[in-house]
Amino acid sequence: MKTIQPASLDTSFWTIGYHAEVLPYLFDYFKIFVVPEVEDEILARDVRFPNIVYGYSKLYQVFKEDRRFQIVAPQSRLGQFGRGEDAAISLALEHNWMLLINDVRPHNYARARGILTVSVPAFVVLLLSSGTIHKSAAEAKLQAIQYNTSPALLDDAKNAIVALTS
Amino acid sequence: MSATSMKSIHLAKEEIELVRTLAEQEYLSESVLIEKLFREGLRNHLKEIAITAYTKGMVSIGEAAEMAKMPYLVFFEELRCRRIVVLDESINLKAELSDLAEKFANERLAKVAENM
Repeated sequence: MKTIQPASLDTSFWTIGYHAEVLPYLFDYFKIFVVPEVEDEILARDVRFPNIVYGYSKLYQVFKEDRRFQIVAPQSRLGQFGRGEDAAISLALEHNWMLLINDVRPHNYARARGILTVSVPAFVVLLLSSGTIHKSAAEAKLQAIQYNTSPALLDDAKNAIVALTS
Repeated sequence: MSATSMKSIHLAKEEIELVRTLAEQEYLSESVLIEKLFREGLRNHLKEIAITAYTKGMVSIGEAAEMAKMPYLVFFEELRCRRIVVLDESINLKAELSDLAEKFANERLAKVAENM
């Protein structure tokens, strides 16, 4: 039986993970805890275009209606970064949970605080290594996020894919 | 919107003429048009400051969005459309894969991480 790990979600993972099309797979690996601030970021609308609903928000709503998330607030805040990042990192730190995050500064800060972080490229490699997706799907997922991910990091992830499939 | 107060600005004659023309074309009063242009300019200015701060590595996405006074997703879309890198090799992918291998008892992944 597959282990399910508790993890705190940051908005940066949700947005990049959306484009990599990895979000539905998350629930096979993680019990997702969402701080109210992150939920607000994912669901907030642009006041100039109040009828527009981003795909990120719509997908979140669908999973929320399916009760896939636990909304939890941390006891205290670190006072670092934006509201969502601060709360998501604080929650992971308080409970010693993993942190799903894809923004370099808060990612590296969390890592330095001893939190086990998971980025979207790492999750793609995990999916391949578990036999959940094919090599071509893993490559496509990395390609989908190539413009917002450094070439050197993508190369590292691609090398891991090659090593897993050769 | 909060309470308003008046600010006076000086415009060149050509600018005044341009405002008059545009106001006529858009069926707006000149003052409404100037307010609209000012707000758009202010919004864009804040956004550019925030994007510069983000690309220089001074702030996170969330902080930058707050600086720009934009919702996170709207600001993220700006970063995405401009192809701005949000994650780079400094994250230590090897360490992440190693942690994931341990947490999920994934020997294949552990071996790959070890050889990176």
